[in-house]
Amino acid sequence: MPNPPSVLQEVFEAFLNEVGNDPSVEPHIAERLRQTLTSGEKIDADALRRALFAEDDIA
Amino acid sequence: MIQIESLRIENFRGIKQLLLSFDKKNFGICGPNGTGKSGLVDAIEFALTGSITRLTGQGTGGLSVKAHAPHVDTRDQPQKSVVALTAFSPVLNQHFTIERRVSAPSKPKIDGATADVERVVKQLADHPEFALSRREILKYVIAEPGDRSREVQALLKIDTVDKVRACFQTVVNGAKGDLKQAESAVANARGMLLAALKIEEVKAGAILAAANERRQQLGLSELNQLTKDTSLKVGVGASPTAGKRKANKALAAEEVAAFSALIAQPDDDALRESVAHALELLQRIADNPQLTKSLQQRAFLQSGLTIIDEAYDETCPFCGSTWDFDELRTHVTKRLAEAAEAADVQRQLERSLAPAVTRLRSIAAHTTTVVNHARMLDGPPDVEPFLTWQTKLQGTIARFETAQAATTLLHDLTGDWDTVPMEVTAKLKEIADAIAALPEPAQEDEAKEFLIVAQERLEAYQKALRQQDLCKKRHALATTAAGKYTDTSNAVLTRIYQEVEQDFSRYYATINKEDEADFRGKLTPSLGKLGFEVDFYNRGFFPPGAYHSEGHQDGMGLCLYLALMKRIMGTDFRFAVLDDVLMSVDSGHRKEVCNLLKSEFPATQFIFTTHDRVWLQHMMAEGLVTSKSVIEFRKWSPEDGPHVWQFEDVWKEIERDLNDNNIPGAAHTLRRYLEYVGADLSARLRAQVEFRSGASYDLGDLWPSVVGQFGKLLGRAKDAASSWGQKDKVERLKAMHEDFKAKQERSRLDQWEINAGVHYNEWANLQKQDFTPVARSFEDLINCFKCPTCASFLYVLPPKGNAELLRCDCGDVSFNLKKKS
Repeated sequence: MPNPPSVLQEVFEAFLNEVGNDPSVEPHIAERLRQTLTSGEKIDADALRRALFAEDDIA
Repeated sequence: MIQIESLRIENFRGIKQLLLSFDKKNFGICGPNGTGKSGLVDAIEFALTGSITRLTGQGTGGLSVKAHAPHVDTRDQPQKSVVALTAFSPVLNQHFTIERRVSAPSKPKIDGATADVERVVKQLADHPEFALSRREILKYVIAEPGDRSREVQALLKIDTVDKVRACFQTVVNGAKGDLKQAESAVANARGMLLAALKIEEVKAGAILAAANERRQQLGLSELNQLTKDTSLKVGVGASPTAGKRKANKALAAEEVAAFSALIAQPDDDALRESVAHALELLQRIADNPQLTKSLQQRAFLQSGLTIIDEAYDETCPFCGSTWDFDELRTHVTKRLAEAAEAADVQRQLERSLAPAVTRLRSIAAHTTTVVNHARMLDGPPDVEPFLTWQTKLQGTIARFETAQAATTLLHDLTGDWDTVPMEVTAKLKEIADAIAALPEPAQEDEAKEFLIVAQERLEAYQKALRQQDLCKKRHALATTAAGKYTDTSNAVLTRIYQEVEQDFSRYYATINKEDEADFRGKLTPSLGKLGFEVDFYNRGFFPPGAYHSEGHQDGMGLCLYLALMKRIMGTDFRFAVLDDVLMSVDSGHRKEVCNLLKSEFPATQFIFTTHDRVWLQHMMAEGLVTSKSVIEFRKWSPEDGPHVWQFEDVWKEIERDLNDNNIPGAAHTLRRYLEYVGADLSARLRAQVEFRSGASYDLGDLWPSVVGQFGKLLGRAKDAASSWGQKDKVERLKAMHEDFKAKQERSRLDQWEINAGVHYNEWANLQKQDFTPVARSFEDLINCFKCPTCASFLYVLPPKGNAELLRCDCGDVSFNLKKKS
């Protein structure tokens, strides 16, 4: 039996894959989410907010 | 993961000094309660993690590693409390030793440390679940679904999955609040635009018609379309009164009048009724101190729960103390559930206050309009009373929206929550009079001012729309992301739980193949909960504690644990400590448990503790542990710690007693050992022993049957070898049989010597020279049952049905018992 990836890793991969394939989510936002979730840094609401609504997206 | 080679313990828990060699193999520790078995488990956990669950987990208030891990006699000298564990990492192919002192549990000394070894040690520290007690195993089986979910999530390290989910939801909630505000701003901007243009609805045609009417008066070109770049005032030039904007008399008069009407007590039955209901609720709260307290605590607890859900370290935001957040979350959630009445009152209060919030928001927004008109008047009038009131209104809005602080709310509603301050009323009249006194503007100026204000308000409206659009997009994006995260995490968790469920079911069915071969368990994840139901003899699915016995539940706990560990660690699951796990499993299923562990986890080193010697014998009989990898803790004292008996050393121990002329001690040891070996050999050789309830067999019950059976087996093996023409084996068996008979005879002659009644009677007064031959004769006899090569006790195969083979672990002894037909 191969070593399984961590559950969190699996969840993040599946989520990022879904987000990446969703045309309603712009690629650069999907990329920021990837960086946020895989950076190893603390993930809190502010980090997710920054990933989803970065300043350059504000009209 | 690692496998343990040896363990050195000094002044730790109930152990003064102990050195054990595990040799990377399964290891059994047996002993009555209170002899130090769990202290040994604590020592392993401490060496690997720097912590001890029994001193830091749930229900351990007042206990700590630093204060209570040292031996009681060195409790003030934690530096003398040491555990050193030598381990082997199969992945790294490397040996290393971790030494920890209670005085510095987080600073292990690692002999042979490399970056890879340190990573392995860190991994172990992150997986304290390698050590599992029966109490912990039952957490997975008979816990409430919410508690089980937390336990399993903690084991699978998936609590972060839920934390991230909570963070996404916080973002969605924030975006929703922003959108609500943006929508309110659009509504206000729309009202202002409609008022300025004197139109009924915001449509391009109506806006252009209103603007073109004034543009025509000014001789300006007609506007044909309204785009985002269209300026209604293009060509107007500067304001009619260059330098300082003048009030638009008609619009100002109209909006100041509208404001006056708005702030007058409204003739609104719905608002009156809802405020009356809110007052009634607030009075109920005021009259009920318990309800008041519940509401206050509920608000506090809800804030706390949000902090806990989003927290990544377990530090209290108030006092900075470290908490077990799972425990704290359970406690807070329970307290919130208890405040059900408060929750209902809270919801009603929020609903009842909503119309008042709408009214106050409208007043606050229109206050700005009046202030802007006032500032364009000559003078200008002092607008400070308006701004002060507006600030006060915004504070009231915030209180009404959260609907907390009942006492303040009651004070607001019974007081002046929408009462117009006298200063405002007076100043409003002053402003209205000043506007009325303005000269009627020339038609051209009025047209210009109309277009300038219309453009300003159109831009404000467009800006509000853009902000609303942005908020909508953000809300939609956050909702999409949160939804996808929830969906994908649920899908991944469901799949993982299904894998665990399948392994669990298979393991349990293996253990209970005789009567539950089709057994199935179901793990059902839902928001924050993990349901667990098991099949009961094809009668349906029920909670494990509903119909299954305690022993079956123990088995389920182990199977679920093993399935979870397989999922977490895969091939890295190389080591586990099972502390008195499975004590309720009956003897019929123990063999299958042993086989399960051997067949499914052949590369995993299990360290077992049990207070049940028969269980240990089952493990030995099934080859899960060997006589070399078993010790017994027989008694314990604060001065010496556990008195350890390694079965291989029994003869040395007897010799020591004899050298000390402690004949009763030597005889006692010999008798207990013979009882133990007698029971083990009975099972191995399939000797027929008269049944005793409670398995309390003594020497006289076991040995005649064992000796007789072994003699018969040797005879059968000799006959079989002869029938197959195996002359060498016949000769070997003849020699073995003769040797056995001689040693049997010698030991039988001396058997009375080990009678406890004789040796605890003073007049017997035996000396070393009397007892030494007794011990030697039994050692010789017992060696007859062992393989001369691997020293394992011989056993018969199969364990049931017709006996076919007499063999040892290594295969050097392997005698066919079936004659050639």
